[in-house]
Amino acid sequence: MYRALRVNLSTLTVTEEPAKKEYLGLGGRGLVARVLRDEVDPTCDPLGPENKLVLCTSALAGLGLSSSSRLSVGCKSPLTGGIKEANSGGTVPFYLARHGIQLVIIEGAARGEGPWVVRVDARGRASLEEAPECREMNNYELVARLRSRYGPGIAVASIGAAGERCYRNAAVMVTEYGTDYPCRAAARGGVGAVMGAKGVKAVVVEKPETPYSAPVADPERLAAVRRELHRLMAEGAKDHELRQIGTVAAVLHHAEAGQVPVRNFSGKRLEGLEGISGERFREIASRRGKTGLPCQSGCILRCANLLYDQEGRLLTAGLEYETVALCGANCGITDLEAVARLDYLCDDLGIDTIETGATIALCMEAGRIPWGDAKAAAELIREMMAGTEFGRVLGQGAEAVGRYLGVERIPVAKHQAMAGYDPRGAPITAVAYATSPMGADHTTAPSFGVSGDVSPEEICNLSRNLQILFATWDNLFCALAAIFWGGHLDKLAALYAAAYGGPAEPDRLLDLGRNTIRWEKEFNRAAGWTEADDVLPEFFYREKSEVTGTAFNIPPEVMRGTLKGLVDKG
Amino acid sequence: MCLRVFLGQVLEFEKLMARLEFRINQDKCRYPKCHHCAENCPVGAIDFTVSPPLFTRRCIECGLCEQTCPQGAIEVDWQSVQDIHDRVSYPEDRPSTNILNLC
Repeated sequence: MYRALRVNLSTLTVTEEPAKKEYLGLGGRGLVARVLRDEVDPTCDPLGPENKLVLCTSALAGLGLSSSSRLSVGCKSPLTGGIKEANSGGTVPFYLARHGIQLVIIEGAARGEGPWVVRVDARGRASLEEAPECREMNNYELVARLRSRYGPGIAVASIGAAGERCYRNAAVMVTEYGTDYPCRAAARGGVGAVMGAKGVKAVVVEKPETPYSAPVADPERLAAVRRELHRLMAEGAKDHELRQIGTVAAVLHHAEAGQVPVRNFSGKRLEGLEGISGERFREIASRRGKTGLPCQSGCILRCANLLYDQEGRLLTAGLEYETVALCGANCGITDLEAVARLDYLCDDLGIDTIETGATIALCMEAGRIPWGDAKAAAELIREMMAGTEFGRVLGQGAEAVGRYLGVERIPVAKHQAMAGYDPRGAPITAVAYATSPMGADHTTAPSFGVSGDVSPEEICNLSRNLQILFATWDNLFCALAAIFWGGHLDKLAALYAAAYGGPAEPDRLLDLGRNTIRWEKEFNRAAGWTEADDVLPEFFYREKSEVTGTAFNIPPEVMRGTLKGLVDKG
Repeated sequence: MCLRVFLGQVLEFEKLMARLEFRINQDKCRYPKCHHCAENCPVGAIDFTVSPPLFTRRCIECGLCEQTCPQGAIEVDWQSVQDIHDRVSYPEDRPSTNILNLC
C-alpha cells in the first residue's frame, strides 16, 4: 500500500499515513484535485498557512511503464486564485514511487524562516532539516550544494529565490535524469511561491536502498500489456522529431497555423523566425549539444536536450517549445542561443518561462525595452533575481505588469499568461484557456488549428473532449506519451485494470479525467469563480491574425457551455 | 577553422557528453528467474549470455531497465554525472546569489 507524507511547517513535524482507500487509482492532476477538495478551504489565502502544497506521482508511476513517472505539484494558485496543478518529469517521482510514497502534503507555514529541506533518506525515512545556508540561493547552485550535502544521485524538487520571495510566476524545479540539472519545471500558476510561503526550499529524495513493489492486481497481465505499449512507443518514436529535436521542432508548423504568438500576441508574422526554428535547434545541437535525452528514467521517447555555447559552457538544459514561443517569438527575439540563455536564467531563478516571456513582451509593448532585445530581456530577469523593486513587480506575472505599465492588450485568461498557442490559430485550445479550471494553460487541450467551416459549438465540443482526454493523461503519465498510446485506450484500460483491478474499460479511464475537472470546477466555484470568468481578452475578438486572416470569433455565451454537464453531475 | 581546432572542439564537447554508466548488481539480480529489463529494453542492449551480464554499446541510456527492474538491481554510476558537473562551466554572467537578503 502506498503511503502519504504530511509535512507541517507550523509544527515542524513530518508524519506518515497510509494512502486513503478512496484515492486508490488516482494520480497526478486528479489526486491533486481530490486532496485539495478534501483538505483546503477554497477561499483561503493562497500564500497563507491554510493553503497546502500537494506533490504526488502519477497513477502509473513505479509500475515500470515508460514515461509514467510524472510529478504533479498543486495548490490554490496565488496567480489565478483558483486550483492549480503543474507537472514535470525528472527523477523525483520515480524515487518517490520506489519508496512507496505516492503523496506529499506540505501544510502550515514558516515563511521567512529556515528555509527547510524535506528529506526522504535511502531507507524511506522522512524528516525536516534546516538549511539556512541555502537562503536566497538559486536552483543550479542549490542543487550542487544539496548534492555535496546528501551525495550524488539524489532527486531534488526545489525553488530559487523567486519562490522564497513568493513571486507569482515562481516554479518548482525538478532535477533531470542523467544530467541532474534542475531544468524540469512544474512551472505554472505560482506553485513555487506556495512552496516558498511554507518556508520549504527543497524536497530531497535519496534513491531507495530497497525498492518498494506496489501490489498489483495481475502482475503477469501488467507485464504483458506493458511490453506491448513499450513496443508501440519504441516503433513510433524511432525517427520522431521529438526525439531528434524535442518540442522545439514544432515552431515552424505552429507558425504556419498562426499559433506561435508574435510580439505580444499581435497576430503578425515574425521575420527571421527560422532563427528560432527546430531546424536551427538541430543545427546547434548537432555541433554542441545533445538531443534524445530522457528527462525521467525509463522514457523511450526521450525529448530532452542539452545545449552548450561555442566555448563549451552550458547554455541551457531542457529547452522547450513554449519557452521559444514566449521568450522568443512573442518578444520578437529570433536568436535561439539568446532564448536558451533566457531559459537558463529562468530555470536558475525558478520562474515559469511562459509567464516570464509574456511579461517581457508587455515591457516591450510599453516601450520599456526595445522589441527583440535579448540582452535587455535578460536584464529584466536579473532584476527579478536581484529583487529590485521593479524586479519584484515583474515577478507578479504578466497581468500585474501589464496593468502597472498601462498596457491595454494583456494576453491572459484567469489572470494567467497564455501559452504558445495564439487563440486565433488554435481555437480549441483557446476555448480551454477560457473554460478550463487551470486558466490559460495549453496542456489542458493542446491542439492544431481547425480546417474548414467548423461551428463555434463544434469547437467547444472538441475542446471539451480534449480537456477530458488530457485531464486523463495528467492522471496517468506524461501527456506526450499519448502521441503513441492515445489511440490504444483498450490497452491502457487493460494496463490500468491489471494494476488496480476492476474492469478493463476505456470509459473508466475517461472518468478519471471527468472527475478531475469536476473536482477542480467545484473548488473554483467555492473560491468565488463564476461563468463570467470564462472569457478571453477582448482584443482577440477585435484584431485579425495575419496568418489565419480571422479574429477569434467564439462568443462567450457559447464558450460557457463547454464543460456543462460535467460540473452539474453528482 | 582548421581541422585540428575543429576536432579539438568536437572532442571537448564529447567529454561533456559522457555516457551514463549502468551496471547490474549481481546480489540483487534474479536472472534467469526474472528478465523484465532485457524484455523491455527498446534496443536489446542487455546481454545475459555472458557473466556478469553486460550493457552493450547499443544502450541508449533511457533507463527503462532501471524502471522495470523489481529488485532495484540496475544501478547508475552517478559519479560520472558529478564528473560532468565538475567539468562544465556555467554561463559566465551567472548571477551570484546570497548577496541580497530582502525577504
